[in-house]
Amino acid sequence: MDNNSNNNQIARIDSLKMLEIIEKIPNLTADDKHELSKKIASDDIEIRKGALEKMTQSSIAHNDLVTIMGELSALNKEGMYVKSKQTIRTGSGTFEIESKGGDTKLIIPVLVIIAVVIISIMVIMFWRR
Amino acid sequence: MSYQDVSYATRSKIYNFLEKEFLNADDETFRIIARHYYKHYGYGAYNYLLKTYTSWQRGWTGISSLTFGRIIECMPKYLADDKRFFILQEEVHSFFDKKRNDFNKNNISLSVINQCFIDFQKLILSFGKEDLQWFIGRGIFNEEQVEHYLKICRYVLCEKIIQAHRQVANDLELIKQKLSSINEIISGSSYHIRFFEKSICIDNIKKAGLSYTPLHTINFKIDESFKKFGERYFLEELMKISFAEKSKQTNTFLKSNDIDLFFSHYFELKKLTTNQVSMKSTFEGEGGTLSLHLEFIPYSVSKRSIYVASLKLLSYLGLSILLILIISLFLEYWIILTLIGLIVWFGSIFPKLKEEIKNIRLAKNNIQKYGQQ
Repeated sequence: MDNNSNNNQIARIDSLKMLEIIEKIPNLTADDKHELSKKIASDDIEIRKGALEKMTQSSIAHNDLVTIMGELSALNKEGMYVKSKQTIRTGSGTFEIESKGGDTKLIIPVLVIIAVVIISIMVIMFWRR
Repeated sequence: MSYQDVSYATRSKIYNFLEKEFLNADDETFRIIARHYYKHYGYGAYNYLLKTYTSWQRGWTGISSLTFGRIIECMPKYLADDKRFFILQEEVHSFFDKKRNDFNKNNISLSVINQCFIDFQKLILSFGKEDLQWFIGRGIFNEEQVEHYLKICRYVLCEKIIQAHRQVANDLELIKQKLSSINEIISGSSYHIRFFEKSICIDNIKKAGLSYTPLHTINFKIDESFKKFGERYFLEELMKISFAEKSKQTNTFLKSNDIDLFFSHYFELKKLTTNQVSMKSTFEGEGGTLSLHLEFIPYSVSKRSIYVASLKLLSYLGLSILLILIISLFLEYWIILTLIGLIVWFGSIFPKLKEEIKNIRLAKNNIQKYGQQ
């Protein structure tokens, strides 16, 4: 995260000073304290593991996005009609990209022809009368 | 006053726990409970209890609600300290969940988020001994014990609210900062607050003044009076809060990066293509999930949509005229042909006409919204 984005963040509790609290609790035996410290350490490892997995996921998403961009750009240059919808998983959620459009050279003439045919049928029928 | 009368939330968890404890009670505990049961409900009920206990244990017969209600009245007092504390703890948490669910029914919006957390904290801190009369009246705990445990529960719940509030405030600050950095029309944005399980619209977050007022904290002193079972609960909950705090910090980092990634690719795609682009995304933050929708419809696409829709409209109008001509050609069958014509027109042509008019309007709105670029 860039430094600026952290400037306005509200300070968090300093990990709740868990180890300090454990030390203060009178009824805990040395073994209990040791067990709890171990649990905190294992939690930290789990958090780091989860964070690394999520970061990897975001890097993969970045690469996927670059590929999708390339494909869409190529199709756009070729003037082809494109309708695509892609969903990518990132470390913090999902991206859904939808792109629609492209070649109009074909669609408009087809529609014009259909309109002309209909009008022609009307004219022919009217003329027969 | 029965247990059902004073309790706040669905207590299936407590019932299951008590049922399990009752059916697995050691001989001595069972003897004590049975003696108490005899004293309160007489010989007939006591005899039934003795005779059916094995069937209940083996699952041949279920315990009726009347009998179980009576058992609950006699039982908790004779449970071990840690088990009694479990019931009390569940009771307090049920209260917390119930109040939170009730609170969800209120309107929560961006401008009143701070106040919502302040009000909810007040509500939770108002929980007191008077809400736990059943525990005191039945001699399950004495007043001093209840007060002691309540102190711990209140502290833990208060820390949870403070944490949720801080996380939501941090998320919103980051969202505001990120969205303010782009000069783009946002088609839709919302933020789902995990704590309240509620989504709020944040379309106006750029202009909103987000003032964060820290919530009231409770001073908690750890001393010798800190009994063993309260101590275990206190530590477990604090470990959970600490774990959530640390793991959600990663989300902030990721969310910030992913929002940047989202914007940069959106702008790149907008530059690269002349097509209509729509990007939707979700970002998991510290205290909730942000949903964003960015859309760009180039002028050429809107213009094309107007042409296509106009041509289609013209075709449908042509078809309508054609229908009239057909009827006029065969006048001897005009009644039946008019009927068929009306069915065809209202069934197929009219909806299409409406749709194309809607498309033209939409395209015009898009030109107004995204400009002629």
